[in-house]
Amino acid sequence: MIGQQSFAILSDQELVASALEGERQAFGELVCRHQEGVVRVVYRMCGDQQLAEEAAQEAFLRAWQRLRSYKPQYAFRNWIFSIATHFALDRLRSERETVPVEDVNLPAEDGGGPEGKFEVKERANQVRRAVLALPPGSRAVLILREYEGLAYNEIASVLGIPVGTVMSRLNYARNQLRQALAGYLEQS
Amino acid sequence: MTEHASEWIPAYYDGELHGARLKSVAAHLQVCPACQAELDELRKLSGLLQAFSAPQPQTSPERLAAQVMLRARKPAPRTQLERVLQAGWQASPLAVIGGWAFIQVVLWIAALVLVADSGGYVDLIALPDIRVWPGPITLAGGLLLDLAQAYLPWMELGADLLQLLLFNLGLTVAAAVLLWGWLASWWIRVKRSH
Repeated sequence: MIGQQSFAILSDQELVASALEGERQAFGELVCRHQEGVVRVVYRMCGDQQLAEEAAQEAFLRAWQRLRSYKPQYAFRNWIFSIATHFALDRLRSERETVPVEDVNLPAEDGGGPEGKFEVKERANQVRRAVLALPPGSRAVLILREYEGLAYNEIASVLGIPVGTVMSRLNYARNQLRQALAGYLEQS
Repeated sequence: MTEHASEWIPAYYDGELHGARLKSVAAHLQVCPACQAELDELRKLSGLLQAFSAPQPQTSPERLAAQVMLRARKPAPRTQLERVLQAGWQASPLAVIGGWAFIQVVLWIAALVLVADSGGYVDLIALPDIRVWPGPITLAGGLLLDLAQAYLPWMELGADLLQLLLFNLGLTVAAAVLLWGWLASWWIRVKRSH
């Protein structure tokens, strides 16, 4: 049996192989590695931290149940992102999620002084509203590209759409955001 | 060329261009202020989007892993029909063994009555006909035994007992097959759950 500390040096594919042989700690290591990323993606998709935490648990549970269907030639991160994103999209479509209007206390960079910090927070809220106002499909593409750095073909694989659709949705999202955030773009 | 470059600026920015296309767009950007401005816009937008930061997860990774493992162990909730079927499946070996035991008792009593009848201890005329066998067994056994009975009257008792024995054997084999089938299905379910 592999020691707990040894799991940290294994690749994601090796951890999956160990988990399939019954090493639950190997799957625990996968959770540790990818939990933050999954929560980030779903949070930016839905703007709700509680939903993001719930989606993370659901995504990893489904991943555990479907572990035998995982194909090692694909990155585990993309696979778990796919499960989490589809969960988030299903929730958004079923609940017809509207953009939360109220401001939230977002962690913001240090703007220097109270007025600077207020402006920084206000800008963060404006950006948040603008992203959450995008259609779910375009929003998902933008988040995976701009925040998670996935390539076009990886995004296509995660969302199950053609690469051409990825490009068109990304261009649409960027154009919408340019219009919504024109004031801030001119300032920078 | 300007229109073509505008079409490729986002892909260029995202690092998705390769080979000749990449060189072509890169060269065009050197001489086209409009396309260069569009590229700068994309960079500014990306920078601005980073203001939408995500909070740290409230659940620790270890706790999340434990929650996932706990939920993974619990079976999915069942409907009423599924519960009934599950209870029936679990009770089926008991039903098979119980039914087999009951019929064993009946057969032994029948055998004892036949022996007592042949010895004159019991008057079977007063009793209902207990020789109720499945038709094919009776027909096949009867054809063979009729011949024996014609020449060996004292074999009549043995013939009746032989029919009892054959029926008992068939019943026992059927019960054994059912039980083995149940054991096999149980083993498969246990293996799948692990």
